[in-house]
Amino acid sequence: MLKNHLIKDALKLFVITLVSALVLAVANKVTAPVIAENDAKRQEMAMQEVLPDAKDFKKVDTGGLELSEKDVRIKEFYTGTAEERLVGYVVDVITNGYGGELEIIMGVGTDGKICAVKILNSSETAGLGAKASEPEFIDQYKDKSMLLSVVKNEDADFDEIEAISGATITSEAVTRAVNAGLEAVGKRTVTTSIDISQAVNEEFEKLDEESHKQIEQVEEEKADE
Amino acid sequence: MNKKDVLLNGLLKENPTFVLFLGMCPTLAVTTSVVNAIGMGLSTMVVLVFSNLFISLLRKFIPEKVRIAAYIVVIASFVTLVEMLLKAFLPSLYSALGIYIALIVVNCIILGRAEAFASKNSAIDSMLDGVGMGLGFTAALTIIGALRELLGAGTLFGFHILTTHFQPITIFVLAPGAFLTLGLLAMVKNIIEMKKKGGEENAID
Amino acid sequence: MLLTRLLMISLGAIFAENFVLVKFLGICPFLGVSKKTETAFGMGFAVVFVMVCASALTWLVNQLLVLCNIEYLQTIAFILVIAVLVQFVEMFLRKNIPPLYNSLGIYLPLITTNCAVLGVAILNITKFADSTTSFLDSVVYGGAAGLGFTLAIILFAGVRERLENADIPEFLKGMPIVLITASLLSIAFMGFSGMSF
Repeated sequence: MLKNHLIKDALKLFVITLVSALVLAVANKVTAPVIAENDAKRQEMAMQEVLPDAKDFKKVDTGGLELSEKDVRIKEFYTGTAEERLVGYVVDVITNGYGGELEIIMGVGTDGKICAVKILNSSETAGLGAKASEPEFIDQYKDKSMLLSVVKNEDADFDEIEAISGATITSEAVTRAVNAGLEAVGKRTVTTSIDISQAVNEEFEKLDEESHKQIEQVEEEKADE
Repeated sequence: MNKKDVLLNGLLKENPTFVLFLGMCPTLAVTTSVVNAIGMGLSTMVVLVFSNLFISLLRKFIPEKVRIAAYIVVIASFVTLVEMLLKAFLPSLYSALGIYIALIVVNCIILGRAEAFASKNSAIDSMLDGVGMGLGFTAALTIIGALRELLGAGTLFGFHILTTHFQPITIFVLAPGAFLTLGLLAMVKNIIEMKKKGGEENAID
Repeated sequence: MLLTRLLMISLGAIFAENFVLVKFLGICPFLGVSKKTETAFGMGFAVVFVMVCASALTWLVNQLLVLCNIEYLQTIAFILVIAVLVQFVEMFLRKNIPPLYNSLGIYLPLITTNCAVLGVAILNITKFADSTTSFLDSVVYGGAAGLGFTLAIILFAGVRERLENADIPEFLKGMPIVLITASLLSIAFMGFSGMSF
C-alpha cells in the first residue's frame, strides 16, 4: 500500500536522523569540555598579556552598564590584583567591524592609562583590517587615558588614533571598543569611589557617635564627683 | 572505471571548481589567504569522503523517495562533527572560516557526488571519489587563494614574499577580486583548451 | 526606534552587505539562473519567500534547541526545516501556479542548497542574539537579504542579456566573461560599504 510505503520511508529517515543525533550528542560531550578549557586558557593568557603586572583576575558583574557608544557590548570585566593590591582592570569588549564581530581585550591601570589592547577575534580583511593586530596600529593605544577619535592621513594628536590606510572602518571599530572599555573603567572607578567614600563616611559617623558617648561618660563621671 | 581513474577524475577531468563550477560560495569567500583556502578544502574533503562512504554503505537502506533528505542528514552530521573538532582543536581556523564551515552542508559538490556517485557505487569507490573530488577542490582553492593573497597582500601563508617595490593590489583580497581571479583562471583554462583543440585540428589536417 | 532600526537592517542587507556580491552567498543560482530577466525575477521572489519563512521557522526551532540545550544540532535542524519548506513550496506552486513552477524547473528544489537560505538562518541567530525584538529582526533581515539577492540577480540578468549580442572573444565566452562581469558589479556595490546600523 502507498500509505505503508510512506510510513516505512518516513520511519527509515527517522532512524537515520536519530542515529546521527546520538552520534553528535556523544561528540558534543567529548568536545565541549575541551572547547571550554581552551577558551578559558586563551582568555587567561590574553588577560595576562594586556595587564602584565596583575597576578589574579576576578570577574566583576557590570550588568546594566549604560554606554555612550552605540554598537558595543561589554562582554566581561575583571579586576586585576597582585598580592591583594589593585593593579588595574581588564575589559573584554565586542563590537562590529567591517567583516563581522570584532572582540578586543584591554588592560587599564589604576592611573586610568591603557596598558595594552589586544584583538581577540575578528574577521577583517587580510592585508587591510587584519593589520589592526599589528604593533604599528595597536600600540597607538598605549598610555592613552581619554576618549579617542580616529584621523586619516594626518599625524595623530594625543587624543587621536591614526587609521590604517584603507581600513577606516576597522580602525574606528577598534577605537569605539576601546572608548567603551575606558568608559566602563571610569564608571567602575566612580562606583568604587562612591562605595569607598560611603564606607569612609560610615566609619566617621561611627567614630563620631563613639566619641560623643565617651564625652557623655566623662561628663557623667564628673557630675558624680 | 578502475580505482585510479576514480581518484584522478576529481582532480582533472571533472574538477569541481574549474570544470563543474560547483561549490562557488566557499571558493569565492574563503580564498583570501592560502591557509584559509587549504583549511576549507581539507575540511570539505573530510566531509565529502565520510558522507560518500556512509551514503554508499546505506544505499540499499535509504528509500528512494526521501533520499535527498537522508543525504542531507548524513552530510549535516559530518559537517557538525568537523565543526566541533575544529572549534576544539583548531580555534583560529574555526574563527577564520566562520559561517562557511556550517555552509559546507549546502556545498553542491557534496550533495552532487552523493546523488551522482555514492548512491550507485561501492563503498571503496565512493571513498576514492570523495578523496579525488576533495583534492581537486582543495587544489583549486589553493591556487585561487595563493593568487589572491600574493597579489592582494604580498604574502603567502602570512609570510611577506613580495616586499620592497611591490604595492599590493588590494582588490584581490576584496569581494570583486574573488570573481575576477576565478574569471581570469577560467579564461586561462579556456585558452589552454582552445590551443589543444586547435593543435588537434591542425594535426588532423 | 523600531522602524528606523528595521529600515537600517534592511538597507544594510540589500546594499552594503549584499548577500551575493559581498557575502558570497547564493552564488550557484546567481551564476546559473541569471540568463534571462524573467527567470531571474521568478527565482528572486521564490527565494525571498523561502528566506522569510525560513527565518521565521528557524528562529522558532532555535528557541527549542536552546531550551533543550542541544544547540549543536542547529545545522541539521535548520537544513531539514529548509528542505521541508522548499518541498512544500514546490507542491504548492505545482498545484496553484503551474507556469511559475514550470519556468523555475529544477532550480526550485535547488533553493534548498542555496547557501543564502541556510546562511541567513545562521546569521539571524548570531546577529540578533542580544536583541529584544530578534524574531522581527530575523524575519525582516531574511526578507531584505532575499531582496538583495533578487536585485543582484536581476541586474546581472540584464547585463547578461546584453552580452548575448556582444562580440566576445572566444576564450572569454562562457564562465570567464560571466565572472568578470560579476566582479564589476561587485565593485559597484562596494560603493555602499561603510553604511552601518
